[in-house]
Amino acid sequence: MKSFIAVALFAGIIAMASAENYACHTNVTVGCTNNVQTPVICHARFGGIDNVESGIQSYINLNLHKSYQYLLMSAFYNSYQKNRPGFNKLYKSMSDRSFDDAIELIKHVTRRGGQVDFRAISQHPNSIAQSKLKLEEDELHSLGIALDIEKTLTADATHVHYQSTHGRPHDPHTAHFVEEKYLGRQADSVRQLSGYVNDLSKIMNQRDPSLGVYLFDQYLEKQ
Amino acid sequence: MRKQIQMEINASNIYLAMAAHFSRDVVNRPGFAEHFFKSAREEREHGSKLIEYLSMRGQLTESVTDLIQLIDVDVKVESGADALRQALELETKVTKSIRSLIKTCEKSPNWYHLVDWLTGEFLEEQLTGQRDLAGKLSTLSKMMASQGALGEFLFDKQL
Repeated sequence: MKSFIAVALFAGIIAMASAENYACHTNVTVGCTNNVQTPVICHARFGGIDNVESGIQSYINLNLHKSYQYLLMSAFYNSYQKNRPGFNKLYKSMSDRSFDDAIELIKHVTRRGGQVDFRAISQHPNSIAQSKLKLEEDELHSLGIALDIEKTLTADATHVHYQSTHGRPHDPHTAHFVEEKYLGRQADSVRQLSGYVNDLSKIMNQRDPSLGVYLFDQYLEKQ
Repeated sequence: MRKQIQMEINASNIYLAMAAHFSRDVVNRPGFAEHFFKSAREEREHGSKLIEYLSMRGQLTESVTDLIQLIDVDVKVESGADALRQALELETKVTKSIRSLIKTCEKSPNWYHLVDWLTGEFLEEQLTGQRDLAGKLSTLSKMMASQGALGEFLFDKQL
């Protein structure tokens, strides 16, 4: 009798344990109806995607915004008055990189069963629309702007990583994705830009820096 | 020209929104998604080319900061055919805008080179793109008439 109760209890616990959120197989034929109101039962959402989805949305918005800022900076250095092909090339490549990043992030979110909302792409918590950044600056200033932009992007990527590791449940896939694709490369980018800024400021530290800036621009073009 | 640049960037964002929609697991049309990601990149390239042309002609020495604004887009896509239809409408709108830009630039003084460049490069690409979209839309619509989800599924695999 006692062993029967024990077995029954055990079976009950097993049954409760397996009746988790994986309800797809019980309701999968819901998709066979033509009624568009049927709720989505079978989806790709699992793990910690709920915690990171908004953070990634934010990071996508930031990447798109920065991509266009870099594009405008590159356009400014392409004008006949500035005429710095090296700077133009540097900023254009960063613009392309940010845009591709945004696309990669969209693919990541949708891979995990999330969605991207384009009705709010101009929004971001530290919205740069509030801090009106003037993009027509001289060479050294523009490198400084670029360095700050890179650090902003890295901070946002780190925030996504934080949300994916500290959320409950945590999301190791997103954490790994951010680490692999963004954090290492951003660190290199920040280091590279910081090197440029320091080099150029030392080069310009003389009475007539124009030759120095010209040669530095030539160097950038070769990179 | 500035308005045209902003329009190209808006079109790029609309295509990104469509591509994001088709990337969703519940929609699952990777062919459409890739097609629209490619379109988004192309539109951005157009914007970039227009900017380069302006630089070439001696503009963009100032007021560069506000040249491109990131504007929210609201895209509702019902099906693959609906997306192609919306894309075709968008391309037609952009083409009309380029045409009116050409008309403006032809008035005295006539910006011959710009008009020629817009006609030769931009209109060329727009019109061939429109023809391509229209062809795809018509093929898909014929399939959707009776085969519905199966038609869209197979069409997506061919995109």
